[in-house]
Amino acid sequence: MGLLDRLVVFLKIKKRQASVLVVGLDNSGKSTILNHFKPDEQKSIEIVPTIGFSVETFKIKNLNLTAFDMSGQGRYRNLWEHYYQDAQGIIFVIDSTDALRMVVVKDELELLLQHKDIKNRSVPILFFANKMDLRDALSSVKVSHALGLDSLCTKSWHICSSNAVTGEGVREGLEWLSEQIQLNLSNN
Amino acid sequence: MEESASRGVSEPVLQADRWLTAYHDRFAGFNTVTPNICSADLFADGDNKLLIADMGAEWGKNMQLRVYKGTSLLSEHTLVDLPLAIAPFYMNLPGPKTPAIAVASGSSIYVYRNMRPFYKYTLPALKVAEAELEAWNMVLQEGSDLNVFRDLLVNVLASGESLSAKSEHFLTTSTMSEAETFVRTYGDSPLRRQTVLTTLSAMKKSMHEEDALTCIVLGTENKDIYILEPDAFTVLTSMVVPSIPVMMDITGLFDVDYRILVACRDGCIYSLKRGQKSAKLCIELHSQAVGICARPSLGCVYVGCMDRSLRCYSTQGKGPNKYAQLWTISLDHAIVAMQSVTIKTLGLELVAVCCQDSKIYFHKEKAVVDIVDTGAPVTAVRFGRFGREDNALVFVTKSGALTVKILRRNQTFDTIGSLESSKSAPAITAGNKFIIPKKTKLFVDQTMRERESASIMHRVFQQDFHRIRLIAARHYLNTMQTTGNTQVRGFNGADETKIPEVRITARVQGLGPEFALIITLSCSENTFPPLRNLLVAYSYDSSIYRCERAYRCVPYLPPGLPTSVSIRVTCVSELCVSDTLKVIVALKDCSSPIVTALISMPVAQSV
Repeated sequence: MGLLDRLVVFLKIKKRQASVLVVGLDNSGKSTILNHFKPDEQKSIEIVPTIGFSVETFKIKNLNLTAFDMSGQGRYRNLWEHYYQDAQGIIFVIDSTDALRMVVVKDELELLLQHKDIKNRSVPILFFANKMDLRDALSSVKVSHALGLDSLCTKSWHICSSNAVTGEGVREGLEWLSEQIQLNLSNN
Repeated sequence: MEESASRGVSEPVLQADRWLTAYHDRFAGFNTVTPNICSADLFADGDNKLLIADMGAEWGKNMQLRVYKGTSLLSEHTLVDLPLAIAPFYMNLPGPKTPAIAVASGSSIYVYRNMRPFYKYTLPALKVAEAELEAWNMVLQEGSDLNVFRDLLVNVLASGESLSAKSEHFLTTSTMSEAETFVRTYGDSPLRRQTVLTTLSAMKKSMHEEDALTCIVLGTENKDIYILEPDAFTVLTSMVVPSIPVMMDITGLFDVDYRILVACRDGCIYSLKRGQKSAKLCIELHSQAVGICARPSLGCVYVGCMDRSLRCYSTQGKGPNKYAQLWTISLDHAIVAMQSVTIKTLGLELVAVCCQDSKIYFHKEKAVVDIVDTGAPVTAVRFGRFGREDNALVFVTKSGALTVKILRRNQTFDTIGSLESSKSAPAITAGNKFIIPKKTKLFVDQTMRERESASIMHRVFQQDFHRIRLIAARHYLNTMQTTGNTQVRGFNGADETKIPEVRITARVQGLGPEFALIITLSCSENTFPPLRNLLVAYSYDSSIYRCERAYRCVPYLPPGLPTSVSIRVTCVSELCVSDTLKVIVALKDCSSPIVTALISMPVAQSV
């Protein structure tokens, strides 16, 4: 990176580029979370189950993010690993009311962490314990306990509870992620 | 997997667990069977709820229908009768497509919509036998004798007809007054003969869609199969099977074509097709079926039987090849439940066989591809969509625990090498015909001879047979007579030995009325072979003495070493008289004693 580039970044004239991968089981609220960062005129009112994946771009804190919104349905989860290589950050959305499938979430997370494209890289992971407004939702502490996040020390991670319908907690989480990504970018 | 192959038969090595335990409640306290579990999208929100009809921890008490949403109990509904089976079905009603739940119990089906009682369907009443009606008329109008009436009813039963519940109740009365009271109290109530349900299932009416209109199929104790229309609960078709149906497996659509395989209590499987009024026998099991699951895509049906066998029959082909047995394997443990497992994402069709050894074996055809340990024998098992997960395995064990397991993604099901054992019978494929050897001239000649002189052959055989029996009887008598003074050992009569001498001494201790009688047995040092299995028996006047045991056994009498046995003798005579007691020592399986001793007992001191 040349001196001029550094200066540009320092002066916040040019924005940096990064791509993040949004994963999570079906019906956890991935598309709904990303819906908040769309411009008002593009916002979709009704969210339908994603087929395959869709790409969204938005800006957050001097960072141009390209989000790959992956489908969470069982038959499409094989697609996730093909995007690990290019991802500078991962957003893992969890339906905190679905206690039954918490083991499936844990299993998918373990598969993700053990993947060769993720294992030896420093990729920040942001967890959203989504649907916190619902009555039988687990708290973010309980979710992180259920997923065994306390023993995850190889990656920088952050968990925040969110409500994707109203957008509560979503922006805070994304701000943490963008900071981490910028930190990683400037270290390289 | 290579490692497991090299280890061979000794121990099957399983791959890392394919199943994630999503939920386990050890204290759920269920007492239920496979037909009493189902899952249904109750609120049409894509989240399947689990419904379990519980037969009550103590049979018939506190019976409930429980609905689970994920891991939490959504609601509980008290049932009035013991549930037999439950099935979700879709009705043709306006509004969102939500399924209704049919709960079969007794002679009724209770229908729940939106988990509220909606309708109760009762089986049509059966015709009451003429003779039974006449008998009741006689006793009510002419006041005939109750004993005659009872005989009349028994005659009706004997003629093969079944009685109404009222008459059956009357026959259970034991005394005359009870019978009279019964007739006086219930005489006027109408005679109704009601049958009970034995099995319940569902079949789509005209479309395969998940939420398409569904017909209810039921089997009754009266050997009928009814197909009900779900909106008005009218009988669309009624069919007859030769025996009482136990379980059914249905494929196809009611309006297009369907086939119902019915396993009956006579150990046979019958098939019913669209347009047929009565059933056709297709498989004779010679055992009772535990589970039946048809695999139309593979063209076969799996049947688990009580004789620990898992069998596969073809459902394709024509003539004798149809319903021919493809293979059978005998399992090490009794089968307790069966369930078909279809994994759509992998394109796999397995069958889950739950065995008495607390394991669920997943069979891909003959081979075992996975084993799940359940901790206790399974009583009910279901595989299907639960919550938002398609491949969920729900099971209830004998201890009442409820477990939900979810299949992990990207699993492959390879044969567990060592379990594909050589136990399996030679396979007969559906296409092959039986190979019958050619008839030789010798065979034909022999057959002809047998046909011509059958009676002579029979007579000669009988003569020889009687002769051999006579010889056997003679030898038996001879043996019985000679065993009086010699001992027969083994099968060769030559090995008769002289019984060595046994010395006996006896001591009586105590003042009475309880005595300890100590009997010491000994034999000389050079006794060979040493004596085994000696019996020490007592003979006494039972009005005076009582022994705690009728005899004692001395398993081994070492040569030269005295061996003593003690026995507690109680004097039961009130007069405290004394008497003699005879001790008999004999070899086991030998009629004559080796040595006897007469012991005169001391006078018992009164207490």
